[in-house]
Order: sequence, then C-alpha cells, then structure tokens
Amino acid sequence: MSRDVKINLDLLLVQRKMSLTDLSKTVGITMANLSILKQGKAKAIRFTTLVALCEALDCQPGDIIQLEPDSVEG
Amino acid sequence: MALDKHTLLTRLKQSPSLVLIIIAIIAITGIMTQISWSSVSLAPLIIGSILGILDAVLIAFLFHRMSKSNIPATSDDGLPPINGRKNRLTKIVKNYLNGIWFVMVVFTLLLPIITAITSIDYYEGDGTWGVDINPLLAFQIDMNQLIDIDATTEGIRDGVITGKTALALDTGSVRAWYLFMGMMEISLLVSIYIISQMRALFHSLDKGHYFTNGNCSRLQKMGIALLAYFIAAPFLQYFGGKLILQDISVVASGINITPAFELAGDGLLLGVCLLILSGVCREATAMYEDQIGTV
Repeated sequence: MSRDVKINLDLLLVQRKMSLTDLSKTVGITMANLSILKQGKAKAIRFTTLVALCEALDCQPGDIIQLEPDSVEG
Repeated sequence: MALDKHTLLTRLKQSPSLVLIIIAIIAITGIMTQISWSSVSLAPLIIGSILGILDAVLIAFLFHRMSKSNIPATSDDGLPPINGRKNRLTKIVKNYLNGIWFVMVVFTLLLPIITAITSIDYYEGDGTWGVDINPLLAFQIDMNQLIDIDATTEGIRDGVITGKTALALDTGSVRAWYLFMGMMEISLLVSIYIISQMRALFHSLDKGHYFTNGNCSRLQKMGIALLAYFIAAPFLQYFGGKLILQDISVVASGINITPAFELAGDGLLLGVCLLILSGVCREATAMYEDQIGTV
C-alpha cells in the first residue's frame, strides 16, 4: 500500500506570517496551483516550483514535503 | 492496453448499443446461413421480420444516440481543455459529420418503409414488378464458349474474364429485394454507429478536449464495431448473394455468376488500428492527467 505525501505549506505560511497571496506573488505560481498544492491534491511538483517555494519560505524541501507515517493495520 | 480482453469485455458491458449491433449482425448472418442451406420458402417472411426488428432496435438506438449526454459539452473526465490554436479543419469535419449523420439517419429510418411500400406492388401486381439491386457477386465469362455468338478476344491468353463487383440487376424477385435491403440496413446500422462515435469525438476535439477517457472509448468502440462488421460482411455478402442467386439465374454457357466471398482486409486493418490507437489515447490521457496535476 502506498503512503501519502503531506504538504506542510499551511504550517510554514503561519510560521513565516505570510499569506498565500504573498507567496503566490513571490514565487510566481498561480493561486489556483498553490491551492491545489496546499490541499494535497497535486499529483506531482516540479523541481523549479520546489526551489522557488524553498527560497520564498527560507526552508528545505523536507520542510515542505513530508512522508506520512504508515497507518497501523489491525 | 488496447487489445486487453478484460478491457474489451468491460467496454462491451458499458455499451449496450454496440452489443445490440453486434448481436444483430451475428443474428442476420446466422439466419442467412441457415436459410441458404435449407428450404427457402420462408425467407421473405423471416428477412422481413428481421428488417422490422432491426428498424425497431435502430430507432431505440438512435434516440439513445441523439440524447445530448452523448455529445460532450465539456470534457468527459472533468479535465480542462487544452488551450491551443483552434483547428478550423476540426470544425469543418464536425459540421460535415453532422450533415452526413442526419442524412443517414433519415435514409435508414425510411429504408424499411421504402422496402415495404415497394414490395406491396409485387403482391398486388400483375407479375411485371421489378426493382434494381446491386449485390456484390462474382462472375466468370468464358469467351471460348461464346464463339457461337461471334465473340472474339485479343490479348487475353486463356479467354476467361473473372471478377467480383456490385452487379446491377433488375429483379422481379421480392425475396432478392428483401435480402438486398436487409444487407443494406446492416451496413447503414454500423455506419451510423461509427459516425455517431466520430461525431461525438469531433465535438469533443472542437472544444479542445483532446485527451479524455471518453475519446479513447469512442476510438475503441469504433474499432470493435468495424472489426465485427468486416468479419461478418464477407459471410453476409456470400450467403446473401447465394440466396439472391437462388431466385435470379443467368443460364448461358460461358457466363457464370456466383456468390462472392471477399475479405475486406483494409476494414479489418482499420479496426485493429483504431483499437491500438485507443490504447495509445489512454496512455496519453493518463499522462495529461499527470501533467494537469503537476504544480
């Protein structure tokens, strides 16, 4: 069973006291695409997008993307 | 992939109209085979009934096809259209298919009525009744046996001319007329089905929805319909021609007309190509879905 990838954009935005609109303007990604990413609906993320986000949020890729822990099956 | 057995069965389960058409083709081909091997007195009645049933199926099918849900207003999968330059040729083909579809629907609906009205004269007439039919038949003319009527040949080594073609016959046999119209009805049925699919496909393309699962399904359905028809068509033509020739005989030494069995390789190839293309389309749709979901 595949594990889910969690996007920590919400948390990072709160920590950086930044709005989604500001981030959109800084990295040059549309609000629609950022929303898709934030909601975890994106199927993939380009390296360029990831680099732009990391630079704007001053973080590492691992801070944005996180692998969800395995769910315990009983 | 395109020729996967499971996918084909799933597609057939999802398309009752396609299943109906295939059943109709198999049924009429089978019945013609049976009739040609047995006594033939019931043929007009059976063929007439089949024609009527086919027409009823066709009307139900056309109503289903004409419903707006079968012509996509938006993408079938909810995917956004590809924003490219509008292709004028697509619009021209779409409009052309609309016209062709309409003409064929009207003609197909009228065909059984024309058949019935034309044959009324036969039953009430004075024996001078006749209609033109063009069945595909094979012929052989042996010029060597036509010497008595001053036949001469030059440049033909063995003096024999053979071929397969749609022979124009003015027949007084109502059964031959029914058979010919029955075969024509099947061809029209398949043609309308394929044109309906093509019409929906080009409506979708015209709106910029290139890679959708709906379009892939349409290609697959067209492929299955073409294969089913072109596998059945030679048998249909052969046994139909055999039946027609039981009522129409050309007795002359040196001239021989027989039923024609001709496998339409091009049609079969086209059917297989469409099935393969539908598989390619599915791969492309999956890639497009991935691309749309990439941020």
